[in-house]
Amino acid sequence: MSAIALERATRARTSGWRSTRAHLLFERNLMVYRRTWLTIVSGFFEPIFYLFSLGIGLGHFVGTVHGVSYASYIALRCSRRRR
Amino acid sequence: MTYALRSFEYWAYSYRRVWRGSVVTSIVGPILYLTALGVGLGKLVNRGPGVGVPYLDFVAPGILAATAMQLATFESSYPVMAAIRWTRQFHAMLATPLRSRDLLIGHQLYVAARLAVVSAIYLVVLAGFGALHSPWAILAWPAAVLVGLAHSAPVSAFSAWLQREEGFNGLFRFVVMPMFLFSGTFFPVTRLPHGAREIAYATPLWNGVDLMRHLTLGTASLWPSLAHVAYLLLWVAGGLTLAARTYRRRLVT
Repeated sequence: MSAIALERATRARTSGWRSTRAHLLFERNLMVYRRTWLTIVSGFFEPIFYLFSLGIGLGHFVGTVHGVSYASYIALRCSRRRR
Repeated sequence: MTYALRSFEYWAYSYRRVWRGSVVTSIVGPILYLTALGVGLGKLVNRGPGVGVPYLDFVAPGILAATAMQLATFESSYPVMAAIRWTRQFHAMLATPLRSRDLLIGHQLYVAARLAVVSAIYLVVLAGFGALHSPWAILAWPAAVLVGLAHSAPVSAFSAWLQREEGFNGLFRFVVMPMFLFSGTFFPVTRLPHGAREIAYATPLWNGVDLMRHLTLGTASLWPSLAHVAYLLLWVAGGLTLAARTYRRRLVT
């Protein structure tokens, strides 16, 4: 069997939904993640920094918006956007 | 020095192929910022307790300084690591009569040129929004270049020292972003609690923001302005000294 035919045969056998090899890609991504998890976890600080800067820092100079403090106003907006 | 210009030429030459995109972002960027913060949020600030001057006038120089800081930091981060580790451009340059110091100076000259173009565009947009209130505002142009270099010089030292690119995430997340948010760009640092306030005063960004804000508002006085300039120059000199050392250690020995 030529290499091309072998390739075709393999692809035909593995092209169905059930014989998917997605788990290999998943495993690969998991291995990459082992090196970068700190980057993703430290992303937790980003909204906190924003909330402190704009909500509490700048918020003092804004006062109230629609009857609530500016910090509550943007915190509400942030969490709604996330959902 | 002529060798440093050769190194500058390399960066300028490769920038000639991608300049269009960056010009568009540097025009659209300030327009969006000034509309959203200066005009939109500014309406709420001016209606509330306020910052003493119209919020648009307050935030405009802050955004200019912060943009100079971000542009300079970025240009001295990944591109430096790329030239050392990925494309190995610096190694190629060192195979010519150029020395590690020429690579450093040439690259910083290129960052300065980028800063000059971007901040000139910003100033024109700021003028269009009516945020400049003094002829002295023209001095905010060289000031923006100085603010940028005060960041790019130490960051280039960091990039040449760094072994893995993941370190840049820490730099951007825990140094650049807090500085962007808390150095008097969006609200006066007097609002910060003690401790944090002193840290903000020590950042080169706050010194740049304060210098440029007084220039654009027309409230600048000689000695405080000179003190800011001297402090920023100190960061440039310190950063370059450190970078010259890390470049040599990383590339030559």
